[in-house]
This record gives sequence, C-alpha cells and structure tokens, in this order.
Amino acid sequence: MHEFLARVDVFSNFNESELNTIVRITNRRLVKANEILCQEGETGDSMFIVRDGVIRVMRKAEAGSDLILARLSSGNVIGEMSLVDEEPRSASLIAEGEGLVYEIRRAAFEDLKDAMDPAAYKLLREISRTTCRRIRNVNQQVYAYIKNPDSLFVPEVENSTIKMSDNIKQRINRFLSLFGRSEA
Amino acid sequence: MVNEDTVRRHRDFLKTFAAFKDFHPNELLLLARQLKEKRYEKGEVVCSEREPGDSCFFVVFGRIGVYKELLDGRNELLAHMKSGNVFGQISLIDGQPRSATCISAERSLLLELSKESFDRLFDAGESFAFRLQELFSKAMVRQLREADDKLSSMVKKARTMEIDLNEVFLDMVGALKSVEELSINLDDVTYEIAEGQKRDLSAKAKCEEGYSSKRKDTAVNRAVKPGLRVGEYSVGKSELISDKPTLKDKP
Repeated sequence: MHEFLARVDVFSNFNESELNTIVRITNRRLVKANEILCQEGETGDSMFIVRDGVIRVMRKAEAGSDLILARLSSGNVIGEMSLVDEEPRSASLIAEGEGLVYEIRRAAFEDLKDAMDPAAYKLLREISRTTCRRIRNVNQQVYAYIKNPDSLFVPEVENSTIKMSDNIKQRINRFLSLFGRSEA
Repeated sequence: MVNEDTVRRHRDFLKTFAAFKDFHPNELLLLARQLKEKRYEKGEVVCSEREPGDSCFFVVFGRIGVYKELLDGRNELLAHMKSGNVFGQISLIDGQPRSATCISAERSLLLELSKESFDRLFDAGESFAFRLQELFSKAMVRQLREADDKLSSMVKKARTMEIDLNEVFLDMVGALKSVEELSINLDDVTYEIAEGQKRDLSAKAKCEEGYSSKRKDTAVNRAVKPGLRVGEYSVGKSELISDKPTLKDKP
C-alpha cells in the first residue's frame, strides 16, 4: 500500500513517516461487482483511492436513466472534500466489477488532526490545492457566462448516449438542433 | 527589525477574528510576527486580476472592493471586504495569479501574509500554520460549493429564460455541478438512456420528421419535434417560447 500511495498525486510530497501515518489510517476495501461504496445524498465521511478495478461515479437522473460522470481506475482519488466538511455526496460510487479501494475515513483523519500530526495537515493542504484549482475553474465558467450569456456547455448525442462536450461556448440552440436534426 | 509593540497590536487585532477564537494568544503572536502592515488610500489598488500574487490579506479597518473584469472592460463589483475579513487565500495556497482586482474603497489598513512565510511555518510544523491551513481549507471548500451553486442557478436561469428543455437539461446542470465538486473531466460524462427508450433518441428519421412538421415557425419548433422523448424526458413542448436563430439560420 505504501508504495502505491507514494505514487498517488495527493501524497507525492509526503515523506516516509507521513506516508506510514496515512497507511495506518487507510482501510482496504475489497469490492464486488455492483457494490455501492457510497450513495448520492448521504453525508460523505470518507475519501477513496482506487487501487484495482473500475469505480463508476453515477448520478441519478429520472425514470431509470443514469448519468455516468466518470469511470475511475487505479490511482484516482475521489470524495476528498468529505474530509473537510460534512456535506451530502453529490454522486454515488459503484464498483463495475471486483476491485480494491483504499478508504480514509473522516473520523480517523480527525484523530490525526487533533494529534497535530503533520500528515493530516499535509493532506489538508493538498486537498485545498485541488479545491483552489476547482474554484478557479468554476469561477471561470461563471464569468464566461456573465461575459457571454449564450455560453453554456452543450451535450452531443452519440447513438444512445449523450456525450458531454467540454465546450461550454457553443450556443444552446445547437443542443436543440442536435435533438432535432442530424445535420445541424 | 519587527517592532514588538506593533506585533502585539496586530495579535490583539487577530484575536477579534471569529475564525481565530480557538487559537492560543501565543499562536496568534507567531502569526502576527509574519504579517506586513499595508496602508491604502481610497482608490488604491491592492492587487490586480491576472497579476502574480502569493499572499493573503487580513482587513484591520477600511473597506476593499473586489472586482472582476467583464468582456467590455467594465469591472463588476463582487463584494466588499471589511474589518475581520480575509481575502486572497487562493493565491496564498496555489501561488497562481490573482482571480480578482481589489481596490481600496476608503482608507484601509491590511495585514499581509506571504506564501513564503506561511510555507516556512507550515513546513516547520508550527501548530498555528496547521490550524490556519485548516481554516483556509474549510473556507475554500465552502467557496467552491457556493461558486458551484451560483453556476448552477445561472445555468438554470438561462434555461428558463431562453428555452424549455425540461429535465434532460436540468440533469446536465446537476452533472455540471458534480463535475465541479468531484473534479471530473466533462469529456468523461455519459448520459445513459434506459433500455427500451433508446430508439426514441436515435430515431434520426423521427427527428427530421419533427423538423419538417408544420409547427409554428419558431426556432425551437424547427429544431425539436415536440414530444420527442429522451429516456423519460419530454424534449420540447409545443408551447416553447424561444425564437433564437439556430445555427442553420446563420450564414
């Protein structure tokens, strides 16, 4: 586990003893196909690091349809904001097949923090760097929108799935035309 | 040389911050020792959007306007920072350029904490630096969630103003929110249509039929066959309101 975690981005600045501390508070979770790691809407209380297998990030749409937000694989980290606050999960995590997931629970993390353990604060710092990047991203989108109210992200239809495009600049009318005609 | 009286004065000011109520006076003294006093007159620029920045500011007194530049060059006022507020933490943490311009709205006194000082104390394992990091982390997560909500509500608002695309679009908005919260690449997002409903979406012919139907000649009706269903969502209603040109109308 030690060697694996050392290669995961958030822990890349950790020294040996800090890594050992993280290993100590990390649980191994063997998952079976379709096992639910956490549910959308529940209060999040752990962060996950995928070791083996594929974890789906899903969000409920209506009438039996689901939004698959991502398929996470080895080395991907998710749910880290749950170590900082106690908000509901905005998506569910479901194992696609058998796999191994590392889990750091908030309770264990807080014990570390209370002990003023540097590893806990270093992790906090890495999380806040990620948060910074996302704040910048989302703000950019907010202002792209203020600057040009027509700019919105546009999904593209591909066979039976709708693929989200990262292009938020396209006209929403394109969305409409994609539904209405093939040669927009 | 740092004047100890000044440091104590700064420390006493920090004590009044709600965020610092659990800090030991000695921790605040250590923090105060790292702070640089900065005075601004009305109209003076504290920091500029897109310029390098790697510090945060504690407002002792005065008022600082936070502005974001719009496309036409106008600056939109986002907020005012007042006594007891902290701003600029994002650049303190990631060292990236400022995301807003801050201008003093009146005579103001700020205390500046540089990334260098902060990192040094953090790496030395100073407890107050840890606790400060925690405060910043919490504030940032909150800020991210707020920014997310703002974006979602704007997109939703845009949706009701311009078109009526029903639940599919709302789901997309929800997805966008998750995308930000979970740091997911938008390219990876897939919308899975439940079995048995796929034909409705992939029915190209149906769509074109929709296009050519003799509905009222609005953009939406030209574009969407009323009642076309995606999953269980009804995409398009006969009473759709927008009359924006579609891409096809453009030269």
